[in-house]
Parts: sequence; structure tokens; C-alpha cells
Amino acid sequence: MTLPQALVDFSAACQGRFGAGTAGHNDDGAFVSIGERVVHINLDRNANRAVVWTELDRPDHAGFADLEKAAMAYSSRELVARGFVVGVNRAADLILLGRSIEQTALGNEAGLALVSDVATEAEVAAAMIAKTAAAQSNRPGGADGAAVIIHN
Amino acid sequence: MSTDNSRFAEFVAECCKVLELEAPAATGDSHMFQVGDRWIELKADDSGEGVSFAAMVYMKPADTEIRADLVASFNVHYLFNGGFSLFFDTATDRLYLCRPHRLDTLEARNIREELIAFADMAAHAGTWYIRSSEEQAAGTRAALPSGETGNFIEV
Repeated sequence: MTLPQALVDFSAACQGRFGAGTAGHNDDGAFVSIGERVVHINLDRNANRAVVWTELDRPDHAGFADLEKAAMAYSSRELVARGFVVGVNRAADLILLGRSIEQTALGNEAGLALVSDVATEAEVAAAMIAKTAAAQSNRPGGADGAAVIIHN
Repeated sequence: MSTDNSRFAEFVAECCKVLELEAPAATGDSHMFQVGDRWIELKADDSGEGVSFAAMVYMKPADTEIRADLVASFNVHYLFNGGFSLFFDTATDRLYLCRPHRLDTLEARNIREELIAFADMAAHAGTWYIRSSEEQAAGTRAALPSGETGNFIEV
């Protein structure tokens, strides 16, 4: 399969919107730096969708249970209705915020806005989830892990 | 902030026509379709350009906790495999399967297949959640050799 044109076009458009040298791509994904945050775009070929996501944190394994609870608590109906998802991958020691969009949306201004939204929402989400997780881990009789320290 | 739901209302009306249902008099930002014994809600987002599908997959009994580890791992897995996510509504103690779409990418003529596929996924997600939560008691689970945190269902 040739390099997906959608990713080539998308990363070029990102350079125009977010600045020269901010974006790049490879066989199955693209990325763009927005402020201090890197937003990744991966193609979901089975469903003809694309995933736009960014890391919220790579915490110590001991803190995961609190982070998972905090992530679920953060996922309000309003957040879900806007298409955002907070997920945790224990295998990769990763907590992320992302959204799945149709691939066709990558080719227009709306796609760039969706990417920008992920970076903005991630700043809020990372702070809120860290706060909730820390509160849970400090609760008497609560989690057995050490306090979760989140760096942003 | 007022929201323009005219595109959503138009889409719902087209879907009703395709499904040979009577179009609703007023759509607002939400419309429910029934597939078998399952209700699927289509809800417009604030921008008026997006719509999310949602269906209940599990109702939490009073004496149990929702397994945040299962929900969080499902959400990262299916974010990359179809764009599905689970959402726990604390107000109703219900777990919902959701999937967002952009209105300009949906075709009303495919709505029947979309709804049936979503209802199937909701049924599978409910079964997966119940089985996984029964098989692996919270706090006793070690990481599987593969590094996966659960036995994910197939899309």
C-alpha cells in the first residue's frame, strides 16, 4: 500500500496552520506539535476512520488503578457527546485522550480544528485527572499504590 | 449558546424516510431508534456538525462497582479499532456504548445497516463486560502474558 495521501496532505496542512517543522508523517500515522504537546493521528483502516490522540501521562504502574477511576469519572456525558475518549493502556503504561473521526474529515479545515481541540482538551483533562487520582490515592483506606505524581 | 440542529433534524427526517417511519414533529438534539429490544440514541453535539450514537449495554447492580480498569482499557483499544467507547453515567448507574460521527460523513440511506451494526456491537460489549468483570475480580488480576488487560471482543 502506498503512503496514504490523506496523511501526506494532512501533515502539509498542519505545517501551514501550526507552523513549519511542527508536523510529520510515516506509513500509518502523522503527528503535529501544538505548543508543548504532540498530537498523533493514526489511520483505523478497518473502519475508514482516523484516531487523533495525545498522551496525558506515562505514570508509574502502581498508580494505574486510581488513574483508571479518575479517567472514568472524567468521561462525562458532555465529553463523550463531543467525541472525546480517555483511555488507559496498562501494557504501554499510557493514559491518553483522543477522538475517532472519519478519515474524510482529515482533508479539510474541520479536521485541523479537531486536532487542535484535542491539544486544548488534553491540557484540561490531564490536570483534572491528576487531581482526582491524587485525591483517590490519598483517601484513607483507599488505593494501595504510592501517590501519583503527574508531570505536564 | 444557541445550537443549530437543523442539519441533525434533516438527517433524522431522512433516516425516518429510509426506515419507513413517521418523521418526528420536533427533533431537538436527540432521537431514539429501536433495533430489536435495544434503543439507540442519536444525539447532536453542540457544534451541530457531529452526532453520537449511544446504547445502554449494562446496568450496574447496587452492590457492585463499575470496573474502571475494564472501561479504561476498552476505551483505548476501541478508540483505535472502530471508534467505540464506553461511558458510565453515574446519575443512572448505566454503562453506555458510544460512537461519534460527523454528520457530513453519514449517509441516511445506510442508516439501517449502521443501526444494526451498532446494536450488535452494544450486545457484544455488554456480554464482554459482564464476562470480564465476573472472571477477573478487582484487585486480584495480574497482567496477562500478552500485556493485554482483558479479552477484547472482535469488531
